[in-house]
Amino acid sequence: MAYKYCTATNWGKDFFTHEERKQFHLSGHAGDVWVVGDNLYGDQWIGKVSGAIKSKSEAQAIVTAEIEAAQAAYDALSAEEQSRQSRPAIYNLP
Amino acid sequence: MATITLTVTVANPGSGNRYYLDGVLQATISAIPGNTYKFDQADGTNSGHPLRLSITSNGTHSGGSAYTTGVTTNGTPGSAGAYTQIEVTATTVQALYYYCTNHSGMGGSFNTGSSATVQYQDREGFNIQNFSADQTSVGQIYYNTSSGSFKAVTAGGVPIGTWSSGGTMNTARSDLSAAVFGPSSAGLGIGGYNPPGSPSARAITESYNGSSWTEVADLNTGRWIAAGFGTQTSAVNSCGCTVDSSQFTAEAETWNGSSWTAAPDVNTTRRSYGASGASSTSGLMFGGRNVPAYFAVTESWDGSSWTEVGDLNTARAYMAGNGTQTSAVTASGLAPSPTTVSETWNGSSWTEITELSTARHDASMFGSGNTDAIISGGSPNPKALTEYWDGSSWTEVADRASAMNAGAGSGASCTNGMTFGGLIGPPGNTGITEEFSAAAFQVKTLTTS
Repeated sequence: MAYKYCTATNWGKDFFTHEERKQFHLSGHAGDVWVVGDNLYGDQWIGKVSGAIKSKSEAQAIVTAEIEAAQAAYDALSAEEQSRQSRPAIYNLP
Repeated sequence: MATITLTVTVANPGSGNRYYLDGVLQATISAIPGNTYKFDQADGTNSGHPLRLSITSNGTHSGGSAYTTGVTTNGTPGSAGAYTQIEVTATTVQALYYYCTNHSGMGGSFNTGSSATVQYQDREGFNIQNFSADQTSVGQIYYNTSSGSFKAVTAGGVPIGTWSSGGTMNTARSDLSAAVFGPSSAGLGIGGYNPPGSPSARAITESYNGSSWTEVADLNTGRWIAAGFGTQTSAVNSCGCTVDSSQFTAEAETWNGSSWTAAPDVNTTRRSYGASGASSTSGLMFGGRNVPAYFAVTESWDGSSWTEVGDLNTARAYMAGNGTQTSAVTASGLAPSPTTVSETWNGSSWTEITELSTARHDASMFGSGNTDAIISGGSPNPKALTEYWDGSSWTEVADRASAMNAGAGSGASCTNGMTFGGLIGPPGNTGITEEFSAAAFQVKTLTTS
């Protein structure tokens, strides 16, 4: 499946709708990065939310930077809190 | 196939006695071949009104006779066990009518695929009917004269459900509670955790109207990793941590739609437990922990006191739960490792059921009870995975858009629920709401190439 990448801030109600979720892939990631199915409906959604188009590597860099910051925050937690949460792991966008 | 029971009652709407099917005056029934339709005449109002079927409207009162193919009758109308039923097959006459053998004008239509007024062509025993508008009965195949296309109505429900974005909470936070039994148009978000701040444990309560959140009255004691049950206007919240993860409380509070009132303490002080219940006078809390112990203890709330009832089979904390005081589901948790363990509650005891596909903790759940639940999100590492319990097994359904854990879930139905708040990692605490919805059916256009 082909994807497009963008950044957009989730404003809440109707940022994405049930109908849109049926029409294209959509997943949200750190740094307000969104992975969007590359089809007509996905393009329309990017326009609706005024998404800033990113290349995959640009999007990955945003996500990685956010996770690295979260890793530092995790390392500063108490042992009790660390026992409950996993240390955020860097992952690759699809 | 299925037996579909139609509850028959008799009442006079002003023009003489008439049959009501499932409460609908002289309802027109669209039957599907393969099913058996049972006209249940046990209700006392049926006395003296035997129901039969005929190919003639109004049956014997209009010169017709009773249609008997596949028809069986039992008992005396108005008495327990009385019914008339018909097994509908591909060869059943398409246009039938139900009528009272004693009184004219009481009945209505019972269609098994077509009516005499609609043109159709026979195709190997089945019929394609013309309609100008889309239909709603699962199993129907028809020709839509407006769009000029063949269409079919296929099954709906949770398997076709999707997540959409809802209104964002005013205060981003994790480890909050919900009044778990409210619909997605009437949620209640309670307490939670949002450091830094003084105190980190929040007393904030927010109310959701289907599109936006509004702050309402605070808890008397701010708390997080608690749990709640009830609805937007009648709820309970109890236990949890009040300062940091080492400060537990046994305090409980009840919500009447506008303010929180202190209620009797629970018997076992704990945090990170599950809860179910439909109001501020009826609920259940189960599991949890009080470092270092993990609990199996279940307590039942009757509106005035907490009583210990049947333990969970597997002690654990950070589990998801939903349902009522007498019918609940719990799944996932830390025991102390992330687990797939799931259990249902029948009002007196917990039973282990089929396990989740994916081990997790700090997930969110909604649903009606022990035969109907959705679990979504969770840790380790925030998840978008969503699984549906249909009473016999868990099935993966549509993922959330944003992976999340330590949020709250509410909804008294799997076809209309939501999650809110929690941790999306990173950046952390969020006020995001996602709403899950599924239609009862879906209309598909049939193509020939």
